[in-house]
Amino acid sequence: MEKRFLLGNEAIALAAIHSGIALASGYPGTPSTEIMEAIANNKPNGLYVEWSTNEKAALEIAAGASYCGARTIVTMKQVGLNVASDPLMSLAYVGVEGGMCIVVADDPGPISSQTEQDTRTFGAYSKLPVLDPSSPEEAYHMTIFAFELSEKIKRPVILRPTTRVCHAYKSFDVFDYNNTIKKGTFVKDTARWVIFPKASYLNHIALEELRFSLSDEFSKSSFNKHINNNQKIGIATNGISYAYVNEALNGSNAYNLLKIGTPYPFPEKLAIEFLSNVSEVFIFEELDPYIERELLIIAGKYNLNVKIHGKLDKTNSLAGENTPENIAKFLNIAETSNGLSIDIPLPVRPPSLCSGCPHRASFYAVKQAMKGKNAIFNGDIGCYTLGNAMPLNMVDTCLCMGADITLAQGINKVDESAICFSFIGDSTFFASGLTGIVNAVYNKANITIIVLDNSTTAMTGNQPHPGIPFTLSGDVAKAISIPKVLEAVGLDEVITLSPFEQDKAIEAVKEISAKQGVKAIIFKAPCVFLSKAKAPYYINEKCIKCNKCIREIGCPAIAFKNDKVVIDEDMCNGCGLCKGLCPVKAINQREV
Amino acid sequence: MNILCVGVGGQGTVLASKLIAQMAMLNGDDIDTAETIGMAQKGGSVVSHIRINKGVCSPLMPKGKADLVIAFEVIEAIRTLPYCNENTKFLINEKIIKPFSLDNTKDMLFKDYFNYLDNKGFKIISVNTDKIAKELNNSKIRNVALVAYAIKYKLINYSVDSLKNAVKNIVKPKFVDLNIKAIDMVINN
Repeated sequence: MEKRFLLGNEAIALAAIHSGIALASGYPGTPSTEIMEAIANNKPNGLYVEWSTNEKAALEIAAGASYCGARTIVTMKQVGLNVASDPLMSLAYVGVEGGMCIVVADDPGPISSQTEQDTRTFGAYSKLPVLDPSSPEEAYHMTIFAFELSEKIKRPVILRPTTRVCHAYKSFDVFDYNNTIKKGTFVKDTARWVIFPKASYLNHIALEELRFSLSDEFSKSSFNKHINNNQKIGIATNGISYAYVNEALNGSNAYNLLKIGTPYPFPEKLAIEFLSNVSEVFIFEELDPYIERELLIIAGKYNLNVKIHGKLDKTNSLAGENTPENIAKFLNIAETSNGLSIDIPLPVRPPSLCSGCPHRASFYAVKQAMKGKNAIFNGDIGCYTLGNAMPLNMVDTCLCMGADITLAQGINKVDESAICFSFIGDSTFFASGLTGIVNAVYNKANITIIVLDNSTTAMTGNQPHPGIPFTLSGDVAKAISIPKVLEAVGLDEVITLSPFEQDKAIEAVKEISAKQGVKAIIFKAPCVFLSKAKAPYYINEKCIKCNKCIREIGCPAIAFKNDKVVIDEDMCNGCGLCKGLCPVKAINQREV
Repeated sequence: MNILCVGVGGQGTVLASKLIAQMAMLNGDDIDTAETIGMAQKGGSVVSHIRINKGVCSPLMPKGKADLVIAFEVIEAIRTLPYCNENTKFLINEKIIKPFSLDNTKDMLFKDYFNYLDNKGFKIISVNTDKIAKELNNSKIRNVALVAYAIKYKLINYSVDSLKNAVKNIVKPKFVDLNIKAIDMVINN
């Protein structure tokens, strides 16, 4: 046993390694990304890790290995589960042989996501067990348990931490579990591994039966807690909200308490015990009113006389995160504070494209080329979603991974005069862009695809993808060429150039977008996190303070200070985009 | 002790928070932190909550409970006020990063924002890390320099040696010497 200081995601990774996993697969997505990275950084010999092209691929790869009897882990963010939902729903029926833990990280807020969907609800829909940790330490123990449970019931188990657990560090004791890696052998058994209606009927019954047996087992689980302080009012909570409740209670026994760590199957017997001893219950949970619905069902089913308050009666906020002080105020035990107030206007600071980011140059080139034209810019998920901000204002739509390609087709089919652009990053191209592009060629769409190729998965912290010549474990890979793929599927024209060659880039956009059919420009230049910064630029005395450099491109390194337009040379990456804009040539590069 | 470490995405607040946590670990203290990882790291407001020896608690501190704010940027220092009380101390890097706005002709000066906080009567120490960054030709060492200043001015109760050990444990080997140099420059100045 040793004390370690671990990020929630590292705790999950370590527990998976301690559980003897033979394979780990996933697709990057905040707040789940560090799990795979921590597995790759600490992996023993014989453990296979991969960033898969998308979550569906990741889940199926892990399922194949689990069919053989090996233990596996799959990681993704909550919206990734939408992509992986097809195999998930069927895999729940078919089941696995080796223990399989599907980690799906939820993002209340949302802080870095498209939706506030709740994987407890998704897990219950799939009828697979869901574990919901309240701290990095509990995430560690739940991951260990997930493999044991999965092997016992021969089905995958879902672990769903939220951002505040994934991205919290905690010092705690880690035990020496040393399960050796067990690889496997595929044993043919068509009745088991081939999904068919007749077998599915029987599997459906088995899944429903499992709900009852696991519910009883979970009522005794140490991941759930009922603390009866002989009070008339009870608090029910889960996950990080449980930590906030504990902090606010500070040892007080003013309420009875129910903490749910196994939302599905719901620990019914434990809940009956809790509900029978109180007349009123307040529920603190983020995302869906999941515990609330379960408690309402149980109260109705057993005719328990208890009032239940939460999101369904609007006692609590319907969306967003809980906070320690909001819960503390509600529980009204210790003195709470609002802190001090800010009584001057502070500028908001939304995230923005980095200084030197090649996406800024790409967007600006397309914007220049399309000035005065009826052009529609379909964006996608990644750093380049930030192209929506002023002054670029180059994202008209953003829906989900890959939708830039297909939304553009739909828009152009009914609004034929609109010049439709699809902006897609290199990682998203492989994750979800390809099928849409094939659709465009086959169905004679009329779109211009702009591939923003910065040679990485940038938003999640620079992970490799199939277009990169190395893998997560650092091995050399056969990088797949985006232009070759586009030519192979039959695009009419494919051009590759650097967005920093602005004049050429603007001309290329004008020329190619005027043509009919499906055509693409690949703007290729590395992410600033991958390339060494060039010598910074500075603004000399010729500056006439027209502010064009500030107004046009919104580079965070350029600002108006002390009655001068200045470049913060600490922040400047030396891309030189601003230099080309200056009407009086006042912007120059420092000598190295 | 509750510490907030704040700045603008890209400035390196996460590493500063990890250094403090590592020192706490080496000292045998219990430590919880909560980090901003994700979209905000691209130039947005970033906050690390650091909680030392708080027992069973949440990684996020409640409002009004910060004992110390280590700010890499002055506007972000002000943004922490809801987490502060009259006794909160501030260590502020003399830097202002003006967020983009279309009305970008209005000036924003470090001293205006600094004076706003100063007039509220807090104990504030402001430090300039430019010289160290320039001398070592690396702007990224500002984070270790700020933590070193926090030790130098006894805002956190750990030793210079424990910071050096923390650096050895978590900074990439090829940058260890550079970081140690930065620490020595802060302490010996």
